[in-house]
Amino acid sequence: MLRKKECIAMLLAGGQGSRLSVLTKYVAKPAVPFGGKYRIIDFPLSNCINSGIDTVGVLTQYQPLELNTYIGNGQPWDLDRNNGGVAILPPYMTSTRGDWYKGTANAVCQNINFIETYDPEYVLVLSGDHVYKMNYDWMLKEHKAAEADCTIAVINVPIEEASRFGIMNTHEDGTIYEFEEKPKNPKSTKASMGVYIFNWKVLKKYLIEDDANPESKNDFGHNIIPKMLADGCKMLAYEYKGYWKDVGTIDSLWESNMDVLNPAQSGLVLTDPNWRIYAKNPSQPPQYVADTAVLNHSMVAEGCKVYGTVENSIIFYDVEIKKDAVVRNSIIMPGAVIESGAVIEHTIIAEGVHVKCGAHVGAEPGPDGRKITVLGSGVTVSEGATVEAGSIVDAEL
Amino acid sequence: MKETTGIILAQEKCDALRELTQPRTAGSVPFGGRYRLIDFTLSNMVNSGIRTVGVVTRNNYYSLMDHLGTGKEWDLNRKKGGLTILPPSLDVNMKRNTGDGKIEALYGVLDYIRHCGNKYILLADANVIAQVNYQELLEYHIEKNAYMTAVYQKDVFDSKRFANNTFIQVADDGRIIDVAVHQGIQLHSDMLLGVYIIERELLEFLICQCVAHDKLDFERDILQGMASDLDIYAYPISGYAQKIDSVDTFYQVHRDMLNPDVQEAMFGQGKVLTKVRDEVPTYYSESSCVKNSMIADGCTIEGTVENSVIFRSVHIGPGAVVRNSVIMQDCEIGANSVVEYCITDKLVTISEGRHMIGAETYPIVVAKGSKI
Repeated sequence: MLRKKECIAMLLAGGQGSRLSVLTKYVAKPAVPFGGKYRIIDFPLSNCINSGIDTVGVLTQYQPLELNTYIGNGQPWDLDRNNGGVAILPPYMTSTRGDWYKGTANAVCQNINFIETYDPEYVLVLSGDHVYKMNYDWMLKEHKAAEADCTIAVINVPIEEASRFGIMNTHEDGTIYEFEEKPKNPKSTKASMGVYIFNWKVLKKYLIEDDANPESKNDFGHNIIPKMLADGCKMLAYEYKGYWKDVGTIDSLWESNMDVLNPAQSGLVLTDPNWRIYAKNPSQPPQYVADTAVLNHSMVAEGCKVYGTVENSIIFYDVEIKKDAVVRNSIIMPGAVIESGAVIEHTIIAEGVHVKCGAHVGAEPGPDGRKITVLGSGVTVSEGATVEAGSIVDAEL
Repeated sequence: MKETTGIILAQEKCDALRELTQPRTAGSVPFGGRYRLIDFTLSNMVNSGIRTVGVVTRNNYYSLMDHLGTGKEWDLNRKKGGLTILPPSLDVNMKRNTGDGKIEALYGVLDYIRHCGNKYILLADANVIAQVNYQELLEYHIEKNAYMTAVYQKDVFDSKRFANNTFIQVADDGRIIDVAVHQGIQLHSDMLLGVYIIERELLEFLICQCVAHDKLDFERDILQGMASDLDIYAYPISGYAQKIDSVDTFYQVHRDMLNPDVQEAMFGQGKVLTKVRDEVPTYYSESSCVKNSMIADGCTIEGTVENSVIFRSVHIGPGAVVRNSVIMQDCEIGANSVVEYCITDKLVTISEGRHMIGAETYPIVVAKGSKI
């Protein structure tokens, strides 16, 4: 029998993230590299351990290999525990049934047994595709103080963007009276962050009911939350102030990486020693910056060899940028090689890409707005080739 | 190699490293941007397939224990074997502190040696920077049917190193025929690197015999005294190798490291393992200007850096100039200061506008935690 835990986390990491296109062809969205050395899932995992939550179930389904290998026994996040720690929870067969995870609620529902082994009072439900630093313990304290059945973290968004989010309409005391998914005429600017704390006994009942309903989409946002509201459960909105970004699209992934470069303006500060974002550390020597290199407002990780020019960019570990190559306003993921004379502008380059001499990838955005170029994992751009701005490349050129 | 136990002697005292070994053992001297000296020997052992390693310490071993931990960074947190840190044991029969201390140290850990269960023992000092395949050393040792095999570096003519090192004369068949400990003039040019392989039972016998006769100097009493009677063979190291035995060599190796070929030879394929710190990648601001330098993660570079090695979490302020220097972890180089030919130990602060200028032949060593 495992020792009782007050609160455990269930981290939804099974989504494909199809809007990230070629970047999620071989990996699940939470495993997409971010910010020079991280992956997106490092944020919720680090938040958990920094908030004192040491038991995390990671629900995986889509392309789980790389994600599973990455999480391993949870050691980089200090989640290798005898009692608790990280557990990877894929869908499984039983003697009577066996299903893929049909929706977010169904994924948690299929793991009721896992949750019950820890006999928790509260369950924290997280998604693996947001970049933010949040103390879940503060949220749990409010949840307990208000004696709520469910607390939903919300963030204030500009009113003109509110119709892209799930919006919580609340009373003065923070209790939610209405939930609207992507409303045309939003009444409030409190957008759900996809972070929920439930009283486990209450959630368990709703999960079982929801599972028995063949009409349901088995989704927290679509089914569980509206049903609980309708039944008069006490639902609290917890207002989070700080940096939060859904990095579900190419544009937002690029913007969020640029926010890492400008912590003072964006508020995304990764250097805080009291709230470290942990990641698996590659075994790489320090970076080498040659005589010919020019580095300007950029972040460069270990093991890189820089001989060319890098401006306003994020370079992940083990990248080689040869002489006379220019990288501008771009994100270059691990293991890529940029040969001499190549020019990379406004581009996201995935792992292991090889850009040969003199190739030209992407361009600065024209008056028609932002057009980010993306080279998928393992792509080779041949010598002197041009990759048009805005193209998304998956096969050999 | 699984039947070999590695024993690293991290205790070697080294006065020539000046302030760098004041707060720590030679093995835990920071090196190469993010490593400590012992990482090279330890990684070589692990990469050669050794799964049981004991690290013998003498004093000031806190930083070493902190660095090694359970050995997980080297995959040495094993159920069977793995990493064992062997702190000094105060044995009443042995408090003489004579000789090079190696025999005393080994006698102190005789129980560990006896019970490690492996056939061979690989002894190594922690201050050699090289990529060595110990598997090949073991094969050579077995092929020669040697009593013991010592690793050496060929053709060392640097007269500064004669006094602190042991040189050997090697016969054509690889046998050691003469040993010169601390030679005053150049007798031989082949320098020992403090790495030996020997069968466990023979080592136990040698140690006990030496202690029984109050002979406590490994090089004089074992190598020199027995070279004529026993088949002690020498194994030449190939490729880039440096023994860090003084501030000069420490500084020179850091300069060598700025050569991409040497980098490849030293670190090739991320083979050197070390304790990680969860740092962010290094940030270079608009005002930064970096030429021919090696820089670790977690730094913020706002000034000029040339021909230097910068360790983790260093801040180089705007207008500051760092040239031909080695700046260790967590140093703060203030705005508009100038640092040339310096080795600043961890947590050093150079205040705004200060100038610290040493010389190529005598780099200034700034002790850990100093504020200038």
